[in-house]
This record gives sequence, C-alpha cells and structure tokens, in this order.
Amino acid sequence: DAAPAPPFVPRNRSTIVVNPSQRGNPLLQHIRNVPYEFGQIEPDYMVGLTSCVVFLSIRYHRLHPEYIYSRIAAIGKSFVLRVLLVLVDVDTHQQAIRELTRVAVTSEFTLICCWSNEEAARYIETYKAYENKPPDAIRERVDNDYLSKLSDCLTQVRSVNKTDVVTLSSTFGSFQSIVEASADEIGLLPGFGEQKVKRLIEAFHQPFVVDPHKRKRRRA
Amino acid sequence: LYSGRPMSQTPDAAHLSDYINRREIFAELAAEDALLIMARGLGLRSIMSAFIQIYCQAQSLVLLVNTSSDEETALRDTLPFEARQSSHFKSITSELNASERAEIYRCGGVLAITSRILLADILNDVLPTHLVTGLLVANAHRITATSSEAFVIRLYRTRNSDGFLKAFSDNPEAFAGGFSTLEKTMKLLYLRKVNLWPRFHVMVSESLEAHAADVIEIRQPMTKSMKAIQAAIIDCIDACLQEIRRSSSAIEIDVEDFTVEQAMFKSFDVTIRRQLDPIWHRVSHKTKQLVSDLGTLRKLLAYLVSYDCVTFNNFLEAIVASNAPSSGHSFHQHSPWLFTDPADKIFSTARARVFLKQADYVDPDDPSLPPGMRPILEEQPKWSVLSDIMDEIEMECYHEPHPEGQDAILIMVEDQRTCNQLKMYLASNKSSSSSRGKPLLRELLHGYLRWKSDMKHVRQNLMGSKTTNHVTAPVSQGGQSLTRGQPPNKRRRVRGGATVVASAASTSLKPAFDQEAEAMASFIESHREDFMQATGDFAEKEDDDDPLSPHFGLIEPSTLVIVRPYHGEEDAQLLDHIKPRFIIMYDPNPSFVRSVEVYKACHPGKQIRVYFTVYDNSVEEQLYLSALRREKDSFSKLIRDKSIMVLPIGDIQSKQVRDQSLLRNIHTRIAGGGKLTNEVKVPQIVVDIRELRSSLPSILDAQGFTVIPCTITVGDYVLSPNVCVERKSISDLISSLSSGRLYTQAEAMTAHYSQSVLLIEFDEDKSFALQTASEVRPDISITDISSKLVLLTLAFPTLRVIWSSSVHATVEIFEDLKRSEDEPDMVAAQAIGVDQQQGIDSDFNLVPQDMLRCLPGITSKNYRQVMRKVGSIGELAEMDLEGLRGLLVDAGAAESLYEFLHRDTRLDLVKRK
Repeated sequence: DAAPAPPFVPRNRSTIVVNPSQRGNPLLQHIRNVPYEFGQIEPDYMVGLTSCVVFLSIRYHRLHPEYIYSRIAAIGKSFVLRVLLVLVDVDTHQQAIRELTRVAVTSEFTLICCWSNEEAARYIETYKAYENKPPDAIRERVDNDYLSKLSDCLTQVRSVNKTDVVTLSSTFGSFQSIVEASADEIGLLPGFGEQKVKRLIEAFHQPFVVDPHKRKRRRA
Repeated sequence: LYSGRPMSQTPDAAHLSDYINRREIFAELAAEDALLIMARGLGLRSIMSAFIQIYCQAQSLVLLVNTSSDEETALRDTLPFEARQSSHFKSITSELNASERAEIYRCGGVLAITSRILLADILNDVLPTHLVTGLLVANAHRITATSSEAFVIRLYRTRNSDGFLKAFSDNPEAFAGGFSTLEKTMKLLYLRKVNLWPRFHVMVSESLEAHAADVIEIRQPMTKSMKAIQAAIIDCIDACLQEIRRSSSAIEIDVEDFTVEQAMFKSFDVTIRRQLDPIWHRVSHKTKQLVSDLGTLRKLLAYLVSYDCVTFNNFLEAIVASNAPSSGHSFHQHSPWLFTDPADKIFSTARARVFLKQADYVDPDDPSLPPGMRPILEEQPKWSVLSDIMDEIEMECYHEPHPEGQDAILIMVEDQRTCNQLKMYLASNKSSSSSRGKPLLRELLHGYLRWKSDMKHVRQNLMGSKTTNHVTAPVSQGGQSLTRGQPPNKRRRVRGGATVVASAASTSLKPAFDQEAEAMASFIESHREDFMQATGDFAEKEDDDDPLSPHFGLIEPSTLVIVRPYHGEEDAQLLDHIKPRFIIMYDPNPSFVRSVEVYKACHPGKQIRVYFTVYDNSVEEQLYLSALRREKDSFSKLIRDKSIMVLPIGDIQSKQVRDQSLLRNIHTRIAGGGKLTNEVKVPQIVVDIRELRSSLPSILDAQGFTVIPCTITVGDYVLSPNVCVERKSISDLISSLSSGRLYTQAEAMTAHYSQSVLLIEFDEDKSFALQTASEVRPDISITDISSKLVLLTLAFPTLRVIWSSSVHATVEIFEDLKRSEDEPDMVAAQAIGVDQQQGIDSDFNLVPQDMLRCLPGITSKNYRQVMRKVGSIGELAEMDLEGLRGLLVDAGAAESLYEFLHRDTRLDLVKRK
C-alpha cells in the first residue's frame, strides 16, 4: 500500500526502541536494566541496529490467530536477526507452539519462548545489552587455571568427583603419572572402588578410534 | 542357514540337575514366554546360561541384549567347556563393521549385542529380523519406555511375531517402586506372563531349608570412636536433609519422605538426583551441593567400617583439601556440612584413631616418625574377630581333619581393597608385643605421612598460591622458616592433641591443615633417607612370604585360605570351584547367604560351617536387615500386582499405531480420503547413531517415519537435504552452552545446511518452562541460560530454534518441517563435515574423546587430527615436546599441553621459579 515509512532513528544508540502499540504491555515495567523509548518502528522492539523482536502472547494468538501473520509479513526480511518472542501463558500450548514454530521457520524468525513477563523483559534487555558482545562466553574456553582444567578432564569419567581429582593429583603429581599409574596403585587410594578404577584405566588406555582395521592401517 | 526354530521345542534341563528348583524355574520359562524375576543369589545366571547353551548352535539365531561386557564374560564362564569353545556364542561390539556383523548373523548361534548396534542393524536390514529365533533380555528392570532396549523389542515384535522373548531380572525392588511399574515393563516387553521366584516361595524355602548350613553369627561392637563418628555422620546427614527440605520448597520434588534411614540406602542420592534431573537447571547451587554432599556422607558411613583408620582419615583430609577456598573457581561451592560441629567431631575423632599430638613424644619403635606424633593406630575390631576365627578353625582342623583331606577356608569381603588388606593382615605374624594389624597400619601411616608432606606444594599448585599465602600469611611462604617439631601456630600447640580440628573455629580448619602439612613436609624432607628406608624395609618384608595365593599351585596344601570380594552371581561358581569347608562372611551380604544355601542344597552331604560377622548396632547391620526386608516387601507387592495386572495384548497395538499414523499422514494430502497405496513414500529421517540412545528415534519409528541410523558428523537428525537438527535436552543445553560445544555445533550446522535447527526438548513429565518468574534475577548476568541463548542467537541469526514440550511434540514438529521438503540422502548426510582423510565409518570412543577435548591446546579444529595420529590418552601423555609440536603445529598450544601433562603438583613450583 503506502510507501515504506522512513526508518526511525533513535536519539540514543543504547536505548531499546519500543513500538507505541506496546504501551500498556505489562512486560515493559520489568525492563529496568536498559533504557527504552517509544518510536514509530515496524517491529515491537528494536533491540539493535540489525535485530528486532516481535512479541506474542499465546492467549492473544488464540483470539486473533491472523495477527502474527500480518506482523511477520510486514517486517519481511528487514533485520538480520528477527526474534519471535512468545509468552507461554496458557496450559495447552502444544498446538500453538507447533503452529508458531512452523511460521517462524518458514519466515526465518528465531523463536524464543518465555514463561513470564519478567523473563520476556529479560530477553529484550539482554538482546540490547549484548548487541555488540562477542560470543566468548559460549565458546570453548581457552584459558583456565590448572585445577579446573584437570578437574574438567578427569571428571569426564563417570563417578570421578573433585575430591578424587585432588587425591589423584596429590598422590601421583603430574597428569602423565596419573595416566601411567596401574590399576592396583589407584585402587589403594581412598575413595576409589573397583568400578571407578576400571573406568579411569579404560578412559586412559582405550583407543580413540573404535575401528580396529583403521587403526592398524594408520600405524602401518 | 539356521532354520529359525529351536532344535527341540522342550529343551532339556539336564545340566541344571544339581538343584531341583532351578529345573522347575527353567521349565516354566521355557514353556511360555515370560519375565522371570528371581531373588538375588538363587542363580538367575545359571538359568540364563542354560538358555544360551541350548541355542548355541548354527540352527538358531538368538540375541542377548542389555548385558554388560562383564556379564557376558561371566555367562561365558558358566557354560560347559564345549559350549565355551564353540563359535556360536559371540559378543558383537562396535569394533566389527556392518558386513562382518552380517556374516556373524548368517552363522547363527547366541549373540550378545549392544542395543545401539542392534538397532542400527535392524533398521538398516543388516539383520534378518524375521528369521530371529528369539530374544533374551537381561536386566529387565532397567527397561523403560524411552530406553533403546524397548525400541529393540518393539522392532523385533513388529517384524517377527513367531520368535520367543524371555526377560530376566533379579531386582524385584525396581519393579515394586513407582506406579504400576511391573505392568508398564510388561507392556514394553510385549509379555503377558511374569514368573516370580522369591526366596520365600514354598518350593524354594523347603528345598533350601532341608539342608541348612551350620551358621555362627558374631556380633562385634564397634569401638567407642567409631560409634562417635557414625553418630556424627548421621547428624551431618540429618542436617543436610533438613537443609534440602528448607531450600527446596519451590522445587517440585517429593521431599517429605526424606529420612535418615532412607538416606543410608545406596541409591538415595541417586534417587534425589533423578528426581531433580529434569529441573536441574532450576535447582540452586546450594541444593546441588547438598545432594552431592549426601553422596559423600553416605560413602563415609560405608568407609567407616570398611576402611582402616589411616585410609579413612586420609579420605577425610582429601575432602577437606578439595573443599579449600580457591581463587580460580567462581563456580566453586563449599560443602556446608564441613563447617558444622558434628563434622569437627568426625575429623577430630578420625584423626585421634590414627595419632595424637603429644609434645616431645618420640616413638620408641619407629624413630622415623615426626616427633610430637604419637601413633594410636586403632585396628578395625573385625580384624581381631577374624584372627580369633582363624585360630579356632586351625584348632579344629588339627583335631578333626577333613575326611577328603582338604579344608578350604573362604573369606568373603565387600570389595577388592578390603580383600587385599585382609590378605596382608593375615600374612603378618602375631607376636606377643603387637597384634597382627600393627605393622600393616604402620606402613599405611608412612604412606599417609608422605602424602601429607607432598600436600604442601600440591595445595599451592592446585588451589593457587595466592590463596594459600593469604590464608597462611603469618607462616611464611615456602616453609623454610619452620623448624621441625615446632608448629608455628601457638594456639594449636597450646591446645594440642586430638582437639586440634575440633577446637579450631571453622574458618581456621584449613590453615591448620596447611600448617600441619608444611610441618610434616619439612620434617620428612630433612629425614628423607631414613624415612624411605623405613618404608622400604617394610615393603620388602611383606613380599617375602605370601602364603595366600597358592591355590593354583600344583600341590594344594591341606588348608588354604582364600579371600574374595563379593561378585553377585559369580559367587555360586566360586563356591562350586573351591568347595570350602569354612566360610567367613567378613561383610554381610544377603545375596551370598543365598548362594551358600543353594550350594548347600546342591551338595547336601558336604560339611560347611559359616561364620557371619557384623558390627553390632551399626549402619552395616541396619542396611543388611533392611535390604532383606525390602526384597521381601517388593516380592509381596509384585505378587499382588500380578494378580490385578491388566495384561497387554501382544504386538497388535504397535502395528495399529503405525498404520493409523500413516493413514493420517496420507489423508491430509489426498483429498477425498484417497486410498492407501504402495506408491506413497514413507517419510525418512537420517539419525546419528549416537542418538539411538534417546527415545526420539523410537517414537519417530512408531509414528511411521523410516529411521535411517548412520554416523553423521554435523547435527543429530537430518530431515531433508536442507534441514538439519541438533537436539538438546535441557541439561545438555546448559552444559553444551557453557562448554562451547553448542557453539561449535551451530557453526558446523549453519555452514553446511540452509536450515539449521536447534531443538530444545523438555522432559514430558516436567513443567514446560526454562525459568519461572521467581527465578529471573534482577540484573542481567552472563551465567543465566537466557543470556547464553541470546548470545547464541545473536551469533547465528539463521539458526532456528524449536521449543518442544515433549518427544511427541517434537515428532509433530518434525512432520511439519518435512512437509514440502525432499527426502534426505544418507550418503550425503554422512559426507557433510567429514574431511577427506577421515573415513566415514570410523567411530570414536566417547570418554577418551571428551577427556582429550578438555586438555589445553586441544581445540575443536585439531582434536580429530590428534585422535587419528595418537592412539589413546595414555600414548599422548608419553609424548615429548617435539612430538607434540609436530602433532599440534601451533607451538604455543604444544607447549601449554606439554606443561599441563608434566606439571608435578608435588614439587615446589613457586620456589623453582
């Protein structure tokens, strides 16, 4: 229909821009960690230069099932990250979630479910606050102190706990010596039953690659 | 080829002739498919092995599922020689590839096989399922609706309605707990009959009690300090339970019947953990810590009677050390029970059993001990009981030699450690000056002192020197200023003795530990040579004569003593082999009592005397009695359940489900209710072979999808050439978000598929919510799961997220996603993400792989490379720096890995630098 409205430019780059239609949405009162302002935008919330949020409560969706389709169509592909934030506020949610999942996948929205206004507000805040944050926190950790690395490694074996890690380290010294220790030596330590010893030894000496033929060929 | 029929319809039970009841049990099960539940120790394994023996032939193909490799070995041992030698009882592991497995299936026999491989082979038609003679299901109590065994059974029953199915279990408690567990399991097994054989079955009790053995029960009181420790541990457990009750009002667990008695049971902390697991992400750190503390405390209770005083104290100190405050861990939580009064009591009493602090005391027997340390070395009371029993037996053997000239004495203990220790105990001679246990305890004390002296540096190196310096600030850093025998802390010296820990305020618990370690370290450093010699001497002495392992020698002595740990069903064989005249049950064990009864019933003429020793009024005794009671109650309940059970009607149900769902799928597309024709293609889904452990493939299959299992590198489920799904349960989601694995997986998925999907799957029985309103904290924190999800979606805007409230909801959503998409191509899915050098078929062992990935210098980029070039963690640890440089390319990574592997925490790294 009409020509696209000029893009809204927020006064301050660190604020969330809220669509005036959201006025009265109870989640707004929970947005406390990040400032917000109202502005004429297509989505409900603009949480970054390239990301936006469309909010939907399942209760509302049941009353007006066509609403979300029109909103999604209007936004089209105009943001890099388009979040469909769904508030699960009914008990029989399965059908609605199924439908919304289908909608989100076909129109390339990222579906996020939340269960309270507080949680919904938290997601909106976090999207804005982390707009430029590098994803280091969810990447493989690179640096850590010795004990946590040792614990991380040894506790991969089932039933080995932190006390056991300290016992092993204090008895044998280095990781290499722990690996080289015999089952009998480990079995003498307090807290090490037969199962645990067996699992440890197996983890140290079991080949990485299962297929024996491949191993032979590789060694040859 | 096998005929698909057993050789004889009524297999004979000749090899079970030794014991009348077993023949009865066997015949009943052979006649009709059923679930057999037997009391422990009555010989479930011999019944299973009888079935294996019958079908160990090329004419039949019988599959044995749900056994561990240990159980397979044990079953093999029960077979007679010919059957053991025959190639018709085989274990199938992942080391065989598909064509080798097909060949084995063609040859027939009894095949023990892991469910995951079996599933893959049934689904990929490697196994001719319709020709299978029968299925033997071991450990039937572990089968749940979502286990892969249930999937195996369903596939088997839908494709083969003629073959037999026998299920076995000796764990009645598992079926008695919960709501109609027996009925549910029967449905999963497609069985209509359950055979119950409790110990109190009339036939069993009559035949066993006809030849009862001569039993002497010895009730040994614990020492005063042991009693005190036991009481204190129970206090701690009680405190923990109260704390859990208080802090878990918000979480949905059944905390009402948390009692101390319950808490003593083996599986209690596991039970709590299982209840909490689906909501583990919403459980507070404190509760998590409390649950794991309960496990520790339960262990302590058991160790109190099974460990000697030195090892017990050592374990306690390891707990304290691992709970020390450390700078490096933000996630680290302290165990609250450590700071309670009963805990002080535990520590001080446990130490007082080992040694007392006494100023200027020098041990007359052992000058190598640090001065001021007076060894007490309290022996386990059962040791002297054992010693007395041995003397009595010796006398008896002397006066009344066995007619057959052989008097084997079998001593049965709980575990291998006790077993070794008793061997040492019995090996040392009784002298007038000291009892048998003293030299043994002295050696252990020396080991403890060595450990303790190393602890000084270990603590610095492990916990970070910063903290240690901070805590022990007045003591100086390296311990050089310490003069031996003079503890630097005046207060401690004044109070002295056993009250060291008890008197220390909870905050000074750690410094005391530290200072003591330093004092010992400096003493032992200055006396290193004497000390080593003293311990060396003992070790040599001990090696000299070991009269305890000659039973495999050529000439058997007339009296031989064998110490063995309990091994469940294998004990029956042990009794048959050894044919002991005297049995000493050092630790109580209900199942072994049965084994002895059965053995006695099989050899009514044999003279057997059983000594049964138990600590009076101990947790040990209580556990024994309540285990018996629980088993009896469970069987009573099962008998009742059996009479009112609604019987499932065979395999028809599942076929109906399959047809219905197919019809439903079809009529949405064909208007006017078009007829089901063969041209309609069944929708396919490629599933990663590792996912076969979860319940989703099973339900996908039930809903009419064709599940194609294979090894895929990227994603878990491939729905179409474009759509790839990574499935995460809530606990997986949390752990993989923080470990960084999910990031890597998302990276790979988005690189290879146009629609990559993260499926967040909730547990069906638990509420569908990631966080509740009360759990949302006032500020944004990076540790919140929501924050991490935000980061993930910001990093991967094309990653779609599915929130599924249950497995069934997932199946529906998969149906939607697959609509208007092409069928996936297995070969293409396998090839994605696999670099050229790596074969498609190869599979990696998960635990070593996970360990490797935790090592410094190993990244998601290079770990596959490392696994191809290095055999195992052990091989990696042996490599030198040059080798690592060659392996990792990046020199910095190689160095940090080398440093990690070889850093010795016992050395003073601070000083060296």
